[in-house]
Amino acid sequence: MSEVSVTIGDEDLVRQFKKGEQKAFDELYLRYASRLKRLIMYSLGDADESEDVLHDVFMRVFLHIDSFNTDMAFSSWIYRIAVNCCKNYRKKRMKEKSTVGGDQMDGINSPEGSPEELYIREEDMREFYLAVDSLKEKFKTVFLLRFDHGMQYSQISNVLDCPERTAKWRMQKAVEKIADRLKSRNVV
Amino acid sequence: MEPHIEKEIIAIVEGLREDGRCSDAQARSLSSIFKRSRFDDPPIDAPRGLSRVRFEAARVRGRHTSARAFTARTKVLMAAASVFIIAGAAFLVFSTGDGIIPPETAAEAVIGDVTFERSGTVSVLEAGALLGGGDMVRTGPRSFADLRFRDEVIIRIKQNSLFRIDRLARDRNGSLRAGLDLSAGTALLSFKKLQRGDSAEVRTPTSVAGVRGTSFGVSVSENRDVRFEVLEGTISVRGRVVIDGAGPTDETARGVLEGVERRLAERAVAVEANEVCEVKERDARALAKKIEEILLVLPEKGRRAEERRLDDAITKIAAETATPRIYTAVESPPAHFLELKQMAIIREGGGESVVTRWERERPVEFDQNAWMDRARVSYVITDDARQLFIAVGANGRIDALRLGTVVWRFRCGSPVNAQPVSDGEIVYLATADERIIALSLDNGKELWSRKIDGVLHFGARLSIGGDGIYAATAKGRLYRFNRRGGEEWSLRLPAASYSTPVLDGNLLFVPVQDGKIHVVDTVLRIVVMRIDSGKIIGSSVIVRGDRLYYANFDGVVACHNIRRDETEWRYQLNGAVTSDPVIDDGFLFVVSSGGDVVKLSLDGRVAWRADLGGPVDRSPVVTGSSLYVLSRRVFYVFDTEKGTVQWSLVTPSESASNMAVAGTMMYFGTEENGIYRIKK
Repeated sequence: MSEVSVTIGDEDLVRQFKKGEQKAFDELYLRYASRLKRLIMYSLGDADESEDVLHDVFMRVFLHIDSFNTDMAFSSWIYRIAVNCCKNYRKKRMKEKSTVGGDQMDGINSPEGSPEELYIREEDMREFYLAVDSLKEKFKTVFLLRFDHGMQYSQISNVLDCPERTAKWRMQKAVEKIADRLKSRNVV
Repeated sequence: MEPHIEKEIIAIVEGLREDGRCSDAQARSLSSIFKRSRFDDPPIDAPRGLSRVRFEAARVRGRHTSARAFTARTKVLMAAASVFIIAGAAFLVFSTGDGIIPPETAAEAVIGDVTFERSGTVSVLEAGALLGGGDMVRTGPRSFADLRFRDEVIIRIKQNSLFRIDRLARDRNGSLRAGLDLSAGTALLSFKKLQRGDSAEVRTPTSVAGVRGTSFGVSVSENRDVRFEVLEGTISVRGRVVIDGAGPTDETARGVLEGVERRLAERAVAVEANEVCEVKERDARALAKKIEEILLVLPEKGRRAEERRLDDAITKIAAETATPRIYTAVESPPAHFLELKQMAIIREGGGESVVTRWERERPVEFDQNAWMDRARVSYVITDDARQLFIAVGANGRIDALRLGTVVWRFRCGSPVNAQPVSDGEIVYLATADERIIALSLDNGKELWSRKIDGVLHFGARLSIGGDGIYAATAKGRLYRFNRRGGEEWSLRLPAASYSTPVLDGNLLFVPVQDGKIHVVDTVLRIVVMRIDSGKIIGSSVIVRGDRLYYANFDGVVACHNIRRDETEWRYQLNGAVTSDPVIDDGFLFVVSSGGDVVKLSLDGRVAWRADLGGPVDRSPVVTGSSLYVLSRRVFYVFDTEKGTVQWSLVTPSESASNMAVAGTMMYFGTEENGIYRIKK
């Protein structure tokens, strides 16, 4: 059994896994679990369910790895699976939206100003997360992939299977909608 | 955020500004918010996640490839996963035991100068640190710390505070055990609703609050006065003994302290939503002084009589310690409600903006009609001069209303089991834990509290006469207090008394369960006459000149000439008389448990008699030409002249209180249908 190198590319890991190398799958899991869980959690606005949805994502990867075309970027493929799992989850549950804003208490790094001022900043952050959470799914997904995951529009277009200009337009609209909501809430 | 993405977003915001969709200042704020925002990584348990995927994937593959036997590798994987899961489950089970409890309370936000002390070592508290039992957090000026225990408790320790976690964990049975201590400053606490078996307590230097799942703030001032503000739910507050230093080491002395604390705990007061409770340091200090006096003369072990006296003394000083004072939010506006609301929302995981939810859930103004619809009261009293309507719940809750607003509240910490009486300035209460409490009618302030031996039972009330307060108890003790709470004298009666003593001049008429009315000279403090009356229970006697009118448990109504010490007439009713007869306009009105309502002249002739067919055990009320009678489920209005029922009202549930008159209104409480307010 060969050792898996940390510098090896995702696609090579996939090839190894297809050949039966379990450690390759472990490595893929370690590379993507954290960021995908973050995407799922903020996309769904539900910290409790994100664990299960993440599990679904990797189950699909594990079971359907044979269908992955190694000519494509693995990251785009797994992100697409994650986005689809989120869609499925929303459809299945149709539950009332909740937010993860309450968990985001450490967005403040500078201990300047009075505690009250800091609290107001904390409130700004809460309102920001609520604004993101209030976006429609298609805008929120683009915003998270771009703003949080730093994806290129070409990659976003692959993940969402939409034209690049559509992804760019959705990003612009997402930022505008967030700005509008923050204004309406008198946050800015 | 990567620089090129930041630029892109700032360009979008700039576009909004150029289009006039936001001002310069708003654009700057928006850019600042986007720059500061980041999405934090959620916690992830990779080994567990991996095992779960492998395990389930193996099962799914197994189902879909039934023709293929499990490979040796799959079996190993499954076995490994099983071991991992079992080990994980075992960890979950055993790590919650009562042994060494790992710190679980996380410092979520720490601002300014915040330190914590663990095992004598002081360290700077940083966000993310875990705290546990024994850790003490100190906040400096302009500083605060937010602590979180799972999704169950959030604690905000505000500036200049000293806060200790004695315990904050779930025990081996999964029950929450929270013991917290605030020595100085302010802490805001938001608890998820506690379940059966959970216990949570917040101690301060002068008081202890028991929690049942609630949001509240507690502040300890520099002089150690303590203030609780309850936003949601209920806490029970009691005083505690403040002994400087390490406290006594002697076993008997420790027993004294524990005895007092236990008795204080028995009369903890419930502080409900939108209420404020204050415990004054001077009250705790006064209690401590009394205890120190006791500790000076502790009896030797084995001396039973002395030990009994010590126990009585402990009971007395605990009973006479001031009850924690309740204020309405109007009387003493709370300072931390908005912040507490924000914390509760954060604990629940957010959902909508704090402002929106606060506006939605802001407590509505007190609605007297709604309150009266659901209030369960045992006694109602009115004070025309102050336009007060006072409702007394059986649980010791007292609400004083004026013009549709609660003007003061009081919690006795024990049920009230006698109809309160008022002298126009003070209302006097007798409680089930054998106390008399005097409250100012102006503001509900507790003026004094005195221990008595025995409760007032079966309709007996305190009696106000001259400048004294009289109480005859079910343990056969007769007391006289002055209006300042001084016990002037007490006498032992030959048996229990279940009736209200009545003063006429210097003579006090006390029905006793030996079947006699004992006439006590209140100056000489001796019994000067005993009148054979039969057992009187719940019914008061009436003295008019030389004549004494009474009605007993056998249904006999009688007139006794005091001067000649002879009974002038008797009249028999069906059933027992357990309520007060009333004299009005030269006639005596009496009701009985046999359903009789009778009007008698003062020389014993029947003017009219009616049979209601069901028991009447509430005292009737006469105003003008109407007699008001309250049976179990029917309110009757009689014409006093003719004895006919003018009208009646059936209540869906049984009446539960006396009747009280205020101006043109008549009030009475029912078991389940609130308080009735009827225009006379």
